[in-house]
Amino acid sequence: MNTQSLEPLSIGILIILSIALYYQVFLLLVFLGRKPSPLTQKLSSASLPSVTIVIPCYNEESTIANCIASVLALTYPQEKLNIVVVDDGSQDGSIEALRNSTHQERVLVIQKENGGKYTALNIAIPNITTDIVGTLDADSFVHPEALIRMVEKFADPRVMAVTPALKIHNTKGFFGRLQQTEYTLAIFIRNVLASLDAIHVTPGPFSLFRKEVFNKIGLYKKAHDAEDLEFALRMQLHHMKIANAHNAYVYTVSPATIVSLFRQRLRWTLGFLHNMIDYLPSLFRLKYGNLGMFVLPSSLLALGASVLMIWHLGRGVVSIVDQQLLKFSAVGASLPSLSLPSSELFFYINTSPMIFLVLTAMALTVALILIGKNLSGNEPLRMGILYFLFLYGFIALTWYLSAAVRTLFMRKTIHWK
Amino acid sequence: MRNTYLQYHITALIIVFLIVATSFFVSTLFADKRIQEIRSMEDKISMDILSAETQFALLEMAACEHLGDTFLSQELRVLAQRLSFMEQSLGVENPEVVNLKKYYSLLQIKDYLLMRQAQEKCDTKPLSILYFYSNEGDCRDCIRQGHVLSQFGELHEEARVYAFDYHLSFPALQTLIALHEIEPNLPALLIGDQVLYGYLATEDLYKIFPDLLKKEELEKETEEALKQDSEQPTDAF
Repeated sequence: MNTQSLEPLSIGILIILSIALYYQVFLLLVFLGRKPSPLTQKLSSASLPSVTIVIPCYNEESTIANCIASVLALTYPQEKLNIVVVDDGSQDGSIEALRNSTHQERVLVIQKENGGKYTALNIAIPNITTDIVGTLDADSFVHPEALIRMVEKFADPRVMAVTPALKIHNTKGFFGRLQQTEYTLAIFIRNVLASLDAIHVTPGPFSLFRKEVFNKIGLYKKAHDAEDLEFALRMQLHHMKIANAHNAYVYTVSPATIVSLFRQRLRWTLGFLHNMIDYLPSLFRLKYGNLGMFVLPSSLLALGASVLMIWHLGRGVVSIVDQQLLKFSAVGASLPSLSLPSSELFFYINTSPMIFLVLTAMALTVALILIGKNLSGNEPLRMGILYFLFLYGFIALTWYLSAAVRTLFMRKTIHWK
Repeated sequence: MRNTYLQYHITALIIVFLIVATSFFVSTLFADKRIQEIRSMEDKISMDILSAETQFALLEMAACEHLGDTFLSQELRVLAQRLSFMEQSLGVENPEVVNLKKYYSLLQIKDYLLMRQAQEKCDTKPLSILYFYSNEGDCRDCIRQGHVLSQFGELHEEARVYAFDYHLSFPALQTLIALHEIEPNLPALLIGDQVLYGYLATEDLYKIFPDLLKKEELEKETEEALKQDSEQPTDAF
């Protein structure tokens, strides 16, 4: 038997790959092994709770009218649904768009000076008297059945908040398809994390809370532009159950260019990292279950691993370039020989353990995406899976690395607007 | 206390352990298969060399033209490429790779000695290059020299290039190094009885082997002439 000699960096990457596989296998096992919740049930119109949906708005003139229209189109008793829009000092035509929108008599508009998303939410929430409070981003649109499907989850008295299945609105083009696949995978992950009591974000695009949650743990806080993450973590620390309705679709407008995508993800990643620093004592604590022992440490490790991967990749690229330059300086430009017979080619195929682990991880990723696709209504993903498998990791490395550097050396944040 | 899904964690751990173990097992199977291929290739070359030695002994009294293509530069070149790949994938210190490399070096030395015998008998000019390199990361010129010699060997099959890892601990190789008093000032080339140190570009090699340059120029001229002929319009009948 021959053993391959592995240098420390390769051992590190092997461990990271094994942990990534472990994460995937564990989620898959939980998904396959769980029992359907018996408490999810259709509620009669009379037994539906009253709901207020708060829409914070800052410079969203192009989307606010459609956002409100989607809320007005929700299948829900009109008398039990209130809508509050908080304009956070918009400088564009958001207010005019609100005035021109239909059924404006059903929408309460509050105007305030710009202070950030959490201040907009906090100005509305204390005055709400309904059973349920919903928060909805002004650039998102809800499916007509989304609210009622989420509200059904509150039939379980332990459920304190419900998250939806997020989809992206614009699925065309490279970034559209890439993010569509990413969101499809996230639908699967969020759904399993709900079973594990480990959801750590109540997404800004749309989330529902029992009103008593705010009475017990307070309002939103300034939290590195990731208030929805901080609030969910605070709920988890108070052992409040966060459920997921995978069939409640909410569509959000996603970044269409690499620059806007980078900025958005950098903000998310920085928000996650800085909140992790704030919530460090909750890590590796058995009383916080899978969230503290497994999910949050794994997410942090994924960020650290990205730095190691980029170092490994960078070293590989530098080595290849160096070798090619040396070759060029010796014998000039020449194309690599492709004239090997097929039997010879087989000899030169890389069959290191790393390759097998990467292939297994990729196969598992495809399986999880397909389950997410099934959960989210079987929308075609086309080339998105290929983009995601082969390119997403490299693109994501840019904001992971940038966030890691900023956190370690600068502690700078990127503001949401 | 929350449900930690301990049974799922243990199952996932076992599954991942099995996946990792299988990856190593399959990878080792492929590596073993490759080593077997190299070993059988070396055995074949060894047999061919033995056959050539016997043929040489039998034909000692015969004319030089009968000694034409008995040697094994092409096979040795393929073997060298495969060994180089194995070095990269399994590591230069892998014991199997080191053993295969020693055997390869021995075969090269035997081929070289046969060549020398043939040259003496037939009174031809030596066209063999013994190239000593280091792959301990201390010789960037060795990488360049390797590319130059590979290209040179591909262009001129009559020029035999034998590459030796200077630091390979192997008696036959160390004897060869001591015999020609080759210093660890690498890259080093032994051409005939002359030892040359430092990087030699293709032009420098052509200065040492002017006949090969003339031959290459002649081949180029012939090729161009044939090309021109084929481009000229033919008379219609």
